Amino acid sequence: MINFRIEGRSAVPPYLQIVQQVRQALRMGVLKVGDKLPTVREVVAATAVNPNTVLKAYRDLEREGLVQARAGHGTFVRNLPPGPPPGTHSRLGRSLARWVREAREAGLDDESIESLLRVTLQAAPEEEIA
Amino acid sequence: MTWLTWRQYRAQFAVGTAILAALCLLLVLTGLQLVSQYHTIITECASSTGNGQNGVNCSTGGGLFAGGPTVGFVSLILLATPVLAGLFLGAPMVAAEFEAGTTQFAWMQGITRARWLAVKAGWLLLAAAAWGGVLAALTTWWASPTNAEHGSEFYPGRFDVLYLVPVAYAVLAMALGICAGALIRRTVPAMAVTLGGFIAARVAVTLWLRPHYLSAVTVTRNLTAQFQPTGSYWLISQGERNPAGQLMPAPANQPVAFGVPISSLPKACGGLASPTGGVTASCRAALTGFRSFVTYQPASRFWTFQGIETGVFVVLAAILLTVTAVVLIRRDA
Amino acid sequence: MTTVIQTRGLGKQFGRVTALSDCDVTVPEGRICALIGPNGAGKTTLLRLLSGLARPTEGEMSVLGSTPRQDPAFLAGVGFLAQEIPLYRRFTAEEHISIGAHLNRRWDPALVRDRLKSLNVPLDRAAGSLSGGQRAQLALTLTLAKKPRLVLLDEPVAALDPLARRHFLATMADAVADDGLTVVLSSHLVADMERVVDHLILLSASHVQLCGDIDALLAEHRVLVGPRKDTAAIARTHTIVQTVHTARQTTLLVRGNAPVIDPAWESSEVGLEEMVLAYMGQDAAPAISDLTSVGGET
Repeated sequence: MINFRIEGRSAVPPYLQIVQQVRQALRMGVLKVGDKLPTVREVVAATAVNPNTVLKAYRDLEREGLVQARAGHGTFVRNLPPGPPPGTHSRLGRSLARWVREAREAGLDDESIESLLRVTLQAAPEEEIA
Repeated sequence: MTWLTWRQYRAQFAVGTAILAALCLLLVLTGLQLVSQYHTIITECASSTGNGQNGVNCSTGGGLFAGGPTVGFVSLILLATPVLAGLFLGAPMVAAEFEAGTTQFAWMQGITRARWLAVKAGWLLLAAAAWGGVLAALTTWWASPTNAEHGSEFYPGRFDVLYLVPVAYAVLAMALGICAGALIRRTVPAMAVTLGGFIAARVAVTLWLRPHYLSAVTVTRNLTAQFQPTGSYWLISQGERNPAGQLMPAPANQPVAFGVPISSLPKACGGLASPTGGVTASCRAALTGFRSFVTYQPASRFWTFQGIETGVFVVLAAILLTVTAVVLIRRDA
Repeated sequence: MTTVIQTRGLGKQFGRVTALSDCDVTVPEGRICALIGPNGAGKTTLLRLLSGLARPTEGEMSVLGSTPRQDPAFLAGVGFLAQEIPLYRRFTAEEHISIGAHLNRRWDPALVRDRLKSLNVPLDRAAGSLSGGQRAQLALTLTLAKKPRLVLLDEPVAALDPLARRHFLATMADAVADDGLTVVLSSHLVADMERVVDHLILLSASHVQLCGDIDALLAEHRVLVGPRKDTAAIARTHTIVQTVHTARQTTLLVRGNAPVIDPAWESSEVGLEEMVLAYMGQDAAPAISDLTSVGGET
């Protein structure tokens, strides 16, 4: 079962954090198709967020087609998000770990690595257009 | 609400009952003493007017019996007891809840302030009446020997602890406490006001109101034909007037006849100063125009006065409670 | 959508002191509303007026469809928790539950017992000997147990440690999720409540500065940063809430839906705390030395 963590000081609003965490859980295989999402009351009890926040997040996920609310029963996972198969993440994760080791050996500190990653992410779509 | 009142006052009820029991014990013990002394006097003095056996002095009704310190001490306590319930239960009733902030809890539950006040005050007033009533009943029994002997029922200090009026005093003290607590909203100042107000009311009524519930009866007679009202009357004042209508001075360490210093009487009555002198015809003639008067409330009015005084205090209590209700309901919590 | 609270021109004076003046407030049903303002702004006064514990000196208000009054039906619908967390010090939690059962028409004792048990709050200890957090939980659950439609909480978490705070807000949010309750809770701290509130009433200097849905309000506000310049142009299309000039830079917090055409201004979104501070600090003097003026326009 997924356990939501809401970061208070984040730039991302709480409802979006929930959406993102559900998507991430689906990608990592923590949530599978047919699994039941925590009820609104369970999320509220664990995180002390506004119930409407949870409802909004679940509605967004439903609109995306990832989950479906069944009246009286709860909200259930319907589809996985589009993207590579679950195994891809662990495979890419391992090659990323290798790259990070290489970068550290080259003398980059964590802040430089993060900065490099951000620049690369921003540049990537432009490269694709070009 | 009744349940809550009981829960809140459970401890005070226990303490109050214990104190009441102690007072009752005091009254019973001293009262039994008085009863036995009274019976001794009755049997010893039934046949004689001088000294009976066992050194009992029948002419003064027995020294121990008349003005014994026990009687005085107990009488003082009895005058104070009506205010206790109002002081320790009435004043904190509303004030302590304001101080603790629990009015904001109680008054947001599903009952109105009016009902909260009515139930709480109702039970406390009932408790005050019971407190006053038990003490009054026992005191009346306790006081009956001395009342019978000295006819002192109607006198201030004795009147106040008998029959009905202690109940009314206790109820007023409770109403005063509740009202003070509701207006002042702090317990200790409310208690001070309750005590002060109670004393003021009692003193004012006893000194200035009670003598005038009904116009006192004044009986004027010739100086030689002294008049004494019967039964347990309440003497308001008495005196002697000369033919000019002036009051004659009260005796002070001088030889006295007819309640007046012999030196103030006409010369013809100078013979009264000697131990064997009687009232001569010339003295009697010289004394026409001299009057003695007695202003008093007759014994027959005793119950009327009890009723009126009870009424006065009950009305006062009602006014205070009305003020309390209005203030409590209309003011910000 | 039903409106649970509606006030117009509401005011309260104590002698010569004005606690509240000309307050217009609207709170829809089912919201968790933050009542924010500096100390002394009138938050407690407003809550006491809404609950019926105090009476206004001017204006009118409608709470749950009627003027607050001492009437069992009204009292059953509105819960109020004062800042001092008033409980009977000598009574245990169980006894408080009994009191509530005797004095309220609707009463759910299981709500209190279950919640307190899950938080390890003892039911048989005198309220005076519980910790601050435990007393707050007891008081809150007692307020919720009568199943009100509106709950007014006065600075409920100010004196609580972070864990107790979290539990308190979770209990409250749970009741909203379960029952469709409406909550108004006051605080002078924003950060604690940000994740749980979706409606805002901002009180400052006895007046209502802002009242509305938080997302909508944040969408209407923006921070504009640009080189130091005159703000008259912006003032024509937007309401300037706060101006900060340094020697070289001007920062504005503005309200308005019109687009900002002048490219010199860099526009960014506003967070709740930043927006609240801007309104609360309107009359405050700056602490930073190189500011030349603050508030309004130069």
